[in-house]
Amino acid sequence: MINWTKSSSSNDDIVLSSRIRLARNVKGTPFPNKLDKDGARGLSKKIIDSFLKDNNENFSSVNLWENDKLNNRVYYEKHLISKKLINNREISSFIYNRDETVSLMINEEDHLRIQTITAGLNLKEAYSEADKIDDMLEERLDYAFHESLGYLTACPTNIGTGLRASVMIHLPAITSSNKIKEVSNILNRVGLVIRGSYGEGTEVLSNLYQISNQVTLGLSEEDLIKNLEGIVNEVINQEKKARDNIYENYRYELEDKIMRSLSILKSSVLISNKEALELLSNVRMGVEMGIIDIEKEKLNSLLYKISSPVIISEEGKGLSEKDKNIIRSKILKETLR
Amino acid sequence: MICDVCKKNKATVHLTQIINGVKKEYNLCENCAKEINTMSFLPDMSFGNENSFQNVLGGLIDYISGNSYQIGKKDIICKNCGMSYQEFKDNGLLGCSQCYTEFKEYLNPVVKRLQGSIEHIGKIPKKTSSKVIQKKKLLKLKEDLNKAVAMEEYERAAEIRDKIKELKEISDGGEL
Repeated sequence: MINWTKSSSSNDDIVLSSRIRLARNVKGTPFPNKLDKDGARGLSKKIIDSFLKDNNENFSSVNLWENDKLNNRVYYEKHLISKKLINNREISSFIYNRDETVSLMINEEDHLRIQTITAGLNLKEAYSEADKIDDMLEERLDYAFHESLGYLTACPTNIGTGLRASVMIHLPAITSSNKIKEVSNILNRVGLVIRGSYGEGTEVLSNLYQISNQVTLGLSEEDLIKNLEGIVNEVINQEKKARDNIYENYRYELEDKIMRSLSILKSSVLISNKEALELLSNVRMGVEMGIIDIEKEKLNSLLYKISSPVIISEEGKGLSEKDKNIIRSKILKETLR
Repeated sequence: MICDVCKKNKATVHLTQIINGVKKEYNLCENCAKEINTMSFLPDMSFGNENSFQNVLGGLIDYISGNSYQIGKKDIICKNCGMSYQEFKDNGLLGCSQCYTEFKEYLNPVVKRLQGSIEHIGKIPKKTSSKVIQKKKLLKLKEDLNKAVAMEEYERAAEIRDKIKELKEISDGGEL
């Protein structure tokens, strides 16, 4: 698998990354929300020890309760861990690989959340990797499994396959034509859901959305993935149509917006994260439409490089909002030069 | 009244939404209301409140199983983890795998409504007893057969039908 932040996918590719998440629990042990601190940390150690025994070389583990809060935020910005895992920091841990394409979250909402992320639209590859890890863990742990309900999870919205497949997709044209609500309604009807850039309950940044399956039971993993991929392709077509439409009718306005955005990003002295992300979305659209040429890798890595937690972790604590804005401008200038 | 979102300013805008028959009310200050309006997106997303989905789920549980559960019955409690059904309704999370058995009567209709099915046909742990695996394989094949017929792929359907026959013969004389 390829780390999406380091990938230079084809220019017209509007899907940044594909992610698979499998929810699993250990038989008999209460779920994290009913598990006491000692029990939870004990379970965490057990899972980490048994997994690292054979995978020592490529994987490392982190206990959130021993880790710096800021550090945890950086992992979040990289999409390696979830908000829920941070909220559970007194009992939660995670294991991740060197490429940062695999992470195993322990004591999130469920005992175990196996997550794989790869660049572009490639859910099959991400699933096959997650499936392999799941097989490996299954040999060492007794999973909670029910004959007709499948894998049992803390929330009934995840039972069955425990699978959530999602893609991160850039939808500026659909957004600007106020059609997101419409897309969302259609997706809901076919068992899918569209959410903010970091998944459930998160904001939409840089016109990046996540589309994922809502239903997890009654369909096989392959079918769930196939359905999602089919619908995502349809959304891609819609977005491209909307872009063509804008280009045909407002070509100069569009080019102006893209070029101005790029100029501001290259020459600002003080820039907030929000403004930078908005402008980056315009620039990204310009690249995707072949209007300008910038490596996608740069745009992808900027998404987290300019976030406040990452800036603080690189530059040290005690930075004011203004300091961060100055540093952010510098990073943008250097990267886009 | 203080704004539900920023928890700072005075709430002047009152918003009511109904999802799956569950009514929810929000009190917002002018700024937050504007922000939500301009985002023109799903309310639970723009509120950034991670519990909002669980609240909706709790409401949905009430909506589906509520009446049968509430009338003259005392709370059920899971013997394994101590979770009560009321607690589950409040936060949308079960306490342990055993809860699924303890709350079965009320939970299964909820699952059916949420998922549209109560029959898993995906991956099975290898440790599962061979009888269950066999049964699941049959279910999956029958599902495939329906699909093939629906797609008018009759050749494939015939192949699947033969496989089903084969499986049935292996498992104790076609009892399944």
